[in-house]
Amino acid sequence: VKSAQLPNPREVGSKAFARFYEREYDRAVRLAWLLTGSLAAAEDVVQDAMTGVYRAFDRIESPQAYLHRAVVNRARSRRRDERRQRARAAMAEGPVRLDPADADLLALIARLPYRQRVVIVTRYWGGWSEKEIARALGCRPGTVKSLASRALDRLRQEVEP
Amino acid sequence: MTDSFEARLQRALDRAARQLEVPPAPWPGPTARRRRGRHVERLGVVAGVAVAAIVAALAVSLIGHRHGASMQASGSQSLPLPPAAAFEPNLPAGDLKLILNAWKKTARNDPPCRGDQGPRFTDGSPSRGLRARFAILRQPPNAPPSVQRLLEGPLWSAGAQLYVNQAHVVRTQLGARLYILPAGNVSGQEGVPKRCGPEQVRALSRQVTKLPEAKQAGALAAQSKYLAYLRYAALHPEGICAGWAPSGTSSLAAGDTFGCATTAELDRWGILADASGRLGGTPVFWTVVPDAVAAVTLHFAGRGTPLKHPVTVTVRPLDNVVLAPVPHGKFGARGAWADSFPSRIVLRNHDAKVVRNYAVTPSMTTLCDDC
Repeated sequence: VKSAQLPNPREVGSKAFARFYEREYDRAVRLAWLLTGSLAAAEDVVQDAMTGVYRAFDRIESPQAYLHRAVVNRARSRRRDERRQRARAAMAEGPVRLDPADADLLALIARLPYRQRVVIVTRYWGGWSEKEIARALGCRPGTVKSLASRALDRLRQEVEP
Repeated sequence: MTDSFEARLQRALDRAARQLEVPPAPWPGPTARRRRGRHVERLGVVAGVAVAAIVAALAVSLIGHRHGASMQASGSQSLPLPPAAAFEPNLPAGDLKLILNAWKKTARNDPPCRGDQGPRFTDGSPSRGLRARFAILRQPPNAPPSVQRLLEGPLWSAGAQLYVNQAHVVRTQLGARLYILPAGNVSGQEGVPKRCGPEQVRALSRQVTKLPEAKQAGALAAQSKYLAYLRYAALHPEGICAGWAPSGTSSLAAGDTFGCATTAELDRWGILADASGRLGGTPVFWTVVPDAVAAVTLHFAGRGTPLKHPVTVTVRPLDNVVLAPVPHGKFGARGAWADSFPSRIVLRNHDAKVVRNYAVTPSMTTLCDDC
């Protein structure tokens, strides 16, 4: 076998990453959008996160978990001032026309402290386990439980005063 | 109750996420940043500086005469510093929860104490004070009647009480139109009867009786700050909203390109906060400034981008709007690595005197959440 016919390990890695990227990009953008409220910010967050995954792709055990954590951390750096959040386009941007009841609920979620918002979005939209959320947030599963409880309390109080 | 609420939460998130149209974005491959040689980086720096210089020169030469005329007409030359009560205090979450509970209980027992948001849109006119601060508002409005439809989406929860018949189209650039609207109530707060403050204090006092004394005192002090902010917000609710809409479309497209600020916020920073974003794929810094601001100097640090050296751009406002492409934004893949917000902002008045000069730090969440 000629050496030229052997696949280049770097190319193999690149192809595997390209497949991973194709599979995960769309959902990662939706997650980042739910966390930041902005499509442009979500795309940037995911591109940055994907770049991080690409660099570490060959040495990480679970690229998906790595991506989740990167998206959650990078979206956090795009903190939203709570009142500003209400005054900006947020989730109504672009083609999304939300039902008013959904819009109200999402506005309340957008006003939650960031870690509580992550827990609500990843648990109820992403279907992540407590362990997965804890890994993404860099905290203990018990903390996830308490964050979820506080977030739900707060949302319920707002919705059903 | 719990199950149905959680199910409702799940359905709302599902529906919203499903409706989002994610533009396809094929993996661009190993990044240009990683592959680019040092000489290419240097070329990038030179190009970035050149772009910045061209932008500044164009801005000055194209708008100088109009700017001079509009500024002479303006009466406001100062940029006063608003009091601390003008800004929402950053309170501990526990205290805030107690304060909001007290507010809810008070509002339930005495509905006028709710201080609800006003109507979202109005055909009234902005106050003389607001018009005095912004030359653009003294010009006849020129936006089409459809502007209200454009704004309904983005302002779904703003309650900004926009004067829709006073909307101005102030710029058409990069395939988008910039709208500026005077807003009667940016904060969404309305005045409440005088009895409401003491009622809220009593409601909170009842809630905290079982807490240690230090915590009780802390919560009551926090409430005092919060009530002061609400009072200020109710007394000074006016401001400006501005945002870009793609030309020829019936909806605003990007969340990062619409924002509102009270006049207090505009005074504090001298600019409409957090107003940079991408237009037609081009990272831009844009903002609205009051008449008192004659020139805006933006320092881009270039941190974490292929551009290793800082770039400075000076732009003069046209019709109260400052717009500058982010010099090195074009080097990032789809803007992913672009620093779209300057690291330092310097504002000068018409006597070239510096009226604001501040470094943008991550703690300035009321200025820029992406910094």
